[in-house]
Amino acid sequence: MTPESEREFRVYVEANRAALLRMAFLTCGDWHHAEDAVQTALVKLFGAWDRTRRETVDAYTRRIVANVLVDQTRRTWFRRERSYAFPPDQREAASPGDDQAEAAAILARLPLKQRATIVLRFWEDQSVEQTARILRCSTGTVKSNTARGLKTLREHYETLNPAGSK
Amino acid sequence: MNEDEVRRLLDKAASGPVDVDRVDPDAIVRLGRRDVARRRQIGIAAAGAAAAVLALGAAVGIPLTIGGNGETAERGGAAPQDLPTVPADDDFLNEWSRADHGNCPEPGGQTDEQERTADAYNQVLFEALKELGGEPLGRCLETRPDYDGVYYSEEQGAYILDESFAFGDGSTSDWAWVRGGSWEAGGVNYESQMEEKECPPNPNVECSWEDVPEGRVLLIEGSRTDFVDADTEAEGAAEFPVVAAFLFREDVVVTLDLSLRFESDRQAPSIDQVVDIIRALPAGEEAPEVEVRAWDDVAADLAAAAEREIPGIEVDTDTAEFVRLAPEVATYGGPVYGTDATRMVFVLAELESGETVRLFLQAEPVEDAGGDPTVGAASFAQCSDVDCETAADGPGDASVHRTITEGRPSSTSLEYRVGDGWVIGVGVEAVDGSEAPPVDFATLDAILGGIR
Repeated sequence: MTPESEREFRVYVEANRAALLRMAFLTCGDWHHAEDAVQTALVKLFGAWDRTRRETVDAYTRRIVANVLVDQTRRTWFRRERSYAFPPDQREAASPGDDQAEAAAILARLPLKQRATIVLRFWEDQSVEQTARILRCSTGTVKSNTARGLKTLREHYETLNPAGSK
Repeated sequence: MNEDEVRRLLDKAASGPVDVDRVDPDAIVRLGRRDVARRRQIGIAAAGAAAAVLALGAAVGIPLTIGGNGETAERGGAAPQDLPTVPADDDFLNEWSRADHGNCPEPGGQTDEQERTADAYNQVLFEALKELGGEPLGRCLETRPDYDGVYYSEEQGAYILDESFAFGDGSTSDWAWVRGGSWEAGGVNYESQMEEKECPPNPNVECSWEDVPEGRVLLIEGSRTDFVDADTEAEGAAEFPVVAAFLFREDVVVTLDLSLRFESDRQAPSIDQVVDIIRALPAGEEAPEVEVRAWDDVAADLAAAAEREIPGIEVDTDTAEFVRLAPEVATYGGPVYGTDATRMVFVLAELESGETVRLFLQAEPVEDAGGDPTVGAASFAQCSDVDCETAADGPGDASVHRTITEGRPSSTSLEYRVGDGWVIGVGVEAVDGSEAPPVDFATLDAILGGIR
C-alpha cells in the first residue's frame, strides 16, 4: 500500500468509524461487541483497500461488519455480552437516559438477523437487493425478516407507548 | 409502526456519545499490515508446493463487484445441469439445524414463550460446550421422552437438558452426560435443599459456595455414583467424576451437571467453565423470537467458511441451489457425490486467479451405523469407482478425501460421524476445467470444520 493510499484509508476510518460503530451497536446491542466487530472489519478492509472500488466501499464495509457480527455471536458467550444484550451494558446507563435504553431494549427483542435486516434497511437505507447482498441471503429472506422484525417491534413499541403516544 | 417510527426508534437507540477513539486508525493499520505480511509469508511458503495446493495471494482478496453494475445473478443456477436432483426438503433443513444434531422428536405443547426461551438456552449452551470442545452426540433416549436440547417440561415445571456430548477431536472416547435445568424458585429456599440433596449423600464430592454478581453458586466437584447407561440403566452404576453447579438467582435456579466419561487424560471442562456457562444462560429474561433457519443460512455458512479459509475467493450466494440427489444419480453417467438420501448445496465462486469454481456442501443422515467406520465412510462417499483416502478418526468416526477426475474433476473432504449421526462433506469442482481446482484437502477440512 502506498503512503497516499494509507492516508486515504485513515481518512476513511476516521470519517466512518462513528457511523459503523452505531450500525454495529444497533445490530448487536453491545458496545464492546460493536467495537470488536468494527475493528475486525476495518483490519480486513485495510488488506483489501487498494482493490476496493470507492463507490462500493461503504456497502462492502457494512457487509464485513454484518458478517463479523454474525460470526462473533456464535463465539462470544464467555463475555456474557450476548448479541441480544438485555439490559444494555453499563456504559449505556450513563448516556441520555431512559429513552435510549428503552429503545435499545425494544430492539433487543429481535433475533440477530432480523435486527441486522432492520438496521440495514431503515438505518443505513439500503435497498432490499443491497441488503440481500450484504447479508448473503435472498431478497425473499430480507422481505420476510423485515416483515417479522417490524411486527415484533410494533408489538413491543405499542405495549410501551399505548394509544400512539410517543 | 411505520417506517418513520422505526427510524425514530433506531435514532433513539443509537443516540448518545460514541467513543470513536476505541476504533483507532493507527491500531487498525498496524494490525492490517501484520495480517498482510502474514498472508504474504504463507503465499511464499505455498508457492513452491505441488499444483494441488492453493496459491495464496499476497493480500486479502475481496469481492470487488458488490453492487456491481446493478446486475445480479439469477437466483440459483449453481448445480450442474445434468445432475439428477429433486428440490431439497424443509424437513431435512429442520433436522440439520437442530441444536443437538439429532432427530429426536420435538416436544409438543410448548408455548411460544417456552419455545423462545428453550431456543435461547440452546444457543448459549451448545455454543459454550462447543467452545470447550464438546459436540452433541445426537442420541435419542430410548426409555423415556427425549427432545432436542433444552425443552420445557410441564411435569417438572422446569426447562430441562439431558444430552450427551463427545469431547475432543473424536480420536478418543471422551464424553460426558450433560444434564441441566432452570426453574422458578417461587420463594422456596432451594439453596439448602440442593446442598442437602447433592452433598452429604455423595461422600466423594466436595461442595463449596461462591458469590457471583448474579447470585450464589453451589459448586460440586469430585466423583459420584451414576448409571453407566443413564438411558437404559441396564449396566448398573459406577463411580464417575462429576463437575456441577447450581446458580441461585433472585427467583430462578439454574444448574448444569457433567458426569464425565473420559478415557484419555484430556482436560475435562472445569468447575469455573461450568459456572461461566450457567451465568451466561438468559434465565429469567424475556427471550427474543426464534430465528427460523433458512436454506440461505446454509449457503451463507458455506460462503463464510470458504471466505475464511481461501483468501481472495468471491462466493456468489445468489447462485445457491439446494437439492436432494435423485435415485438416478447412481447411473446418470456423471460424478456420483452420494445417494438419493444426500442433500447438497451448490454455489458458484471465483478464485483470486479468476477461475470460476463450484463449491458444494453435502450431508446425509447416518442410520444403522456399525462396523468399521472407514468402510462405512467410503461407502457413503461413493468411493467404489473413484480415488479415496480414508482414515479412522476415532472409535466411530472416519474421514475421507475423495478425488474425482472424470467428468467434473473435484476434491471433497467428508466426515463420517457415527455419534453425531451425519456424513457431511465440502467439495470444490471445476466449472469449465479439466482439472480439479487448486484447493487442497487441508483447506477443505478447515472449511468443513468451520461449518459444523
